[in-house]
This record gives sequence, C-alpha cells and structure tokens, in this order.
Amino acid sequence: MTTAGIITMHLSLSFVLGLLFYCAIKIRGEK
Amino acid sequence: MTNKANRAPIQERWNSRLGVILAVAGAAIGFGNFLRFPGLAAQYGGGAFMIAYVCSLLLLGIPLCWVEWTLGRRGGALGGHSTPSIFMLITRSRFFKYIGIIGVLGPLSIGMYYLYLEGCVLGYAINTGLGNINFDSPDAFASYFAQFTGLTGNGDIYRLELNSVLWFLLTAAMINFILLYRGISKGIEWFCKWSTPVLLITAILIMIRVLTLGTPDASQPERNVNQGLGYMWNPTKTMITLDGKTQTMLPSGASETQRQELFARIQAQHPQGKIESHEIGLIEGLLKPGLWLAAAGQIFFSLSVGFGTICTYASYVRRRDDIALSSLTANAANEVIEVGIAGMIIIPAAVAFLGVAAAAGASTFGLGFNVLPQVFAAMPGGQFFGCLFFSLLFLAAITSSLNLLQPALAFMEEFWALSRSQSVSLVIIMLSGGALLVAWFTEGFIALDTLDFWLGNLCLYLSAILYLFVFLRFLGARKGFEELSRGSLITLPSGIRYVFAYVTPAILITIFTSWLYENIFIESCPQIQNLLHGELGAILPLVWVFFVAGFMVYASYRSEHFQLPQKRK
Repeated sequence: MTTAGIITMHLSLSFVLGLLFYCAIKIRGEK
Repeated sequence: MTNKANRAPIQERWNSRLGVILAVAGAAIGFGNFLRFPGLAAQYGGGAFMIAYVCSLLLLGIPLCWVEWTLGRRGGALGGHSTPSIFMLITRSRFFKYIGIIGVLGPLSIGMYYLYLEGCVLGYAINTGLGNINFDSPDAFASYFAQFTGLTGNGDIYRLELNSVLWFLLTAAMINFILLYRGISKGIEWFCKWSTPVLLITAILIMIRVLTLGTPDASQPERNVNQGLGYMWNPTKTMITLDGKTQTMLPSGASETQRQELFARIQAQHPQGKIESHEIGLIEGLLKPGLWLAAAGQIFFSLSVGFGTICTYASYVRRRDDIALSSLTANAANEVIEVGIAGMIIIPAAVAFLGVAAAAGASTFGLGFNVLPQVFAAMPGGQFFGCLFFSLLFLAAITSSLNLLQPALAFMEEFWALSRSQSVSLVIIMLSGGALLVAWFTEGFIALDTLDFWLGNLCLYLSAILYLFVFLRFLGARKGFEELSRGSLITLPSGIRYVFAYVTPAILITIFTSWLYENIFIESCPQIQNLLHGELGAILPLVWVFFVAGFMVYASYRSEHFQLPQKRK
C-alpha cells in the first residue's frame, strides 16, 4: 500500500465517520 | 383541509426518531454496500474514485434524499402515504396519481427478485456454516453456485435438497410477510432497531478478522492484506486494456508475477485479444468521465433514492419534526457501513487468499458467490466467519426488501381502504407471482436480469427524475428549501436551493443519459434482444409487472376512498 493509498483511506474514513458523529452530536444536542 | 383519505385506516406513526433513521438506513444498506462499492472503488482507483464519490454524495445523493423526505412529510401532512397520493395532493392533479404509481410499482418489482437473492445469501450462510461449500478448485465453487441457484436450467431449483435455493427463498418470503403484517412500528421499526446494530457489530467482527489476516500463505508473500488494501485504496493504478478498452486495474507496485497472472487470466478468456497496460495517476483518473458516472451511479443506488420508500416513511413523520438531520444521519450511517467497513473486508480478503487476479474485474455477483466462498474455505475459522458474513448480507437484504414492499402496502391501504391483513395478502399475491417466475426462469438469470434492467435501473432513474420534477415544479427550490428547513435540527446553508434547482438535476440527467447510451442505445442490448427473440423468461415477468401496474391504475381510478378535496366556489 502506497503513502497516497494510506492517505486516501484515512481521509475517506475520517469523512464518513465525521459526518456520522456530527449527526449523532446534533441529535443528542436536541435533548 | 378535509379529505376522504382521513377515513383510510392509516394512523401509524414512528415511535421514535431513531426508528425512522434506522429504517431508512436499513433500506439503503444492502448488497450494493458490501459487494458493489468495493469492486468499483478498486476498479477505478481508490483515491480518484473517492473524490468523485464524495462530490456525488454531496451534490446528488444527499439533495435527492432531502427532496424525497420533503415530499413525503408534506404529502403525509396532507393525508397521503404513498407516492400516487402524495403526488396527487401536492400537485392537486389526478393525473399525477397515475404517474406516481411508478414509485410503488418499481420497489414492488425489485422485491420480486430481491426475495430470490435473499434466498441465495441465506442458503450460502447455512451451507457455509455446515461446511458444505468447501471445494478444491475454483471450478467446483462455480459449479456449486450454478447448481444451487438453478443457473444450469429453468426449474432446476425445485428440488427437496439443502443445496437448492428454493427452501431458503420460501423461508425469506415468510420472514418478510410476518414482519410486514406486524406493521410499521411493531414490524419494520422493531426489526430495524435490533438488526442494524447487530449488522454493524457483525460487520466490525468480520473486518477485524480480515485486517488481522496478514500473509495467510508464506509461500506466496505477495498475497497479503496490505496488498489488498493497496488494491482498494491506492490512487495510482496500472490500467489493463483489451483491444484498447479498459478491462481492469492493478494496484501500483504490483509485482511482475501478479501482472503476468492477470494477463494470463484475461488472455485465457479472450485468446485473440491484444492486452496492454499503462500507469494512470490521480489526475488522469479524475479526467475519465466513466469514473464520475460510476461514482454517481453507486451513490444513486446505494442511498435507495427513487425507491419510494423514503417518501412513504417520511409521510409518517409529524409535520414539525425534523427531516433534514434524520435524512443526513441515515445517509451517514449508510456511508460508514459502505466506505468504513465494506471497503475493508471483501477486496483485502480476496487479495490475501486468492491474489489480485482473482479479485480484479469480478462482478458484484461473482465477487459475492464465487470469490468469497473460496476465501472463506481457505481462511482459518472460515466456516464460522463465512456463515457470519452471509448472515450479515441476509440481514441487510431483509431490511431492504421489507422497505421495498412498504410503499405498495400504503397504496393498498389508502386507495382501497383495506385492512393491514387484506393489503398484506394482496401484496403477497402480487409479489409471489413475480418471485415464482424469477425462481423458475433461472437459466442465465434471465428473469432476474430482465426485472433488474427494466425496473431496478430504468424505472428507478425515471422515478428519481419524477420526484425531482414534482419538487421543483410544484414546490419550487425556494419553497421546497423552506419546507425542508421546517423543524430542522441543523441550519442548512441557503445555497442548497441552487443545488436543488441546477446541480442535482444536471447530474441526474447526465448519469441517466449515459446509462441509456451504454445500455439501451447499443447495437445489441441483451435485454431488448431477449424480448425480441420471444424468450419466455424475459417476457412473462414483464407481463406480470404490466398486469400489476394495470391493477394499480384500475385501483386508483375506481377508488372512492382517496380523492382530491373539492375546490371551494
């Protein structure tokens, strides 16, 4: 796996996890 | 507004916000997440594909979902719960109730072959667990698959044996019908509330197993998980072409042995073809229109846009409740499963055990039912993990099929004021007719392929275009945006209305036109040729779908229970 591949993988994971955590925090914040 | 529809027996509501989010996420999470996405990302080069994928998610997927949620909640407030009634109430035109039938017919028809696929994964789960799918050669795996699914001949699955999909198909159908009969909150919501977390935990367990595989065979050091992850995510790839057309990709840094292995494999399939290879980088990859179309297409199918399910579910949400964040959360959950988990399982495992050549260019079906059973057969503890993986696929498929049938149920309850048991019975009859045809005409999967092509692709595109048209024409981008923002728990940037008005329609029309160009306007479209040659396996399922469509048109024409409110003089 190349460095560019490692960066791609981690950026992709960060994006989707970040989106989910953002939503979870917003939903919890409503309570 | 007074409406005769108020007399219809639909009083159901979601018990909680989490319930509707998990149901919509459950509808979206299916075969596409676990099998289609990894194959595409690897084929087009991880980095370049992900850039196009994220752009498509932001500009096509999320806006289209918001459109469907907005139309659904608005229609629900007016008293409608299925696409025909929601379209009629929002447009105030009877004509649109007939047009809206596409949003009921499409998912119901997809359900006809989804049941068969559910039977396949359930059968593979049980047979893998029992150790029945463990052979010496790839041909033996392919032969088992052909025998199990009836690929060998029409009617071949009608056998009293464990290695036939028939009994698993019937079991899957029974589970679907029971859950549907229990209704929205006691059936679908209850099931999705426990099955989605179970699915997530199972997927994480399998992912951990795959990522800790290392190099399973010391005699073949090139076959390892790291190489598999590289094949999936490396932005630079070696493109392999056959007679000038792209065949597949190799990860950058692939050894000469791997290159030769793949060349030999392609050459064996096309002895006269001229095979070439050259490196392509991130920028070169991004300049390929095919990559953008593949990414947009994956987003479109992955989020279940156009199925009518989201519209129906959103109609059970109270008018002042949030939909913007609920939609975004369901999308995010789908993406985490797809990118974060599925992307780490299939390709790395296939490369670690079978090498790049086996994983490269495999179709969704081939990857799932030919490549993966070989991987599990070779993996330590593969019997357990294989059973777990196919059970996971089964769970994902059940949540999807339940959601595919809900729009048809809502339609029956509304237009004919039927009770739950009556409408479930009617939907079972309509569904079973098609499902039995799919189960009989299994040679070359002709019936499945026909329904998937005309209903699962063409109808889905038309349906999504229709949702967007009704949203823009009858609500308008500005008013639609206001409707979406009502009760929203997040502040939406106002620029989104320009995305609704210009960007999303442009992308949707582009991928639809390209799909037409690649599949319909070609010299020999196999699905059209099958019809022209009078293949019964292609004709009969479509005749059945037309019959169901005719019945739905008749039902909505004759219905006295759901009419437009009278205009005041």
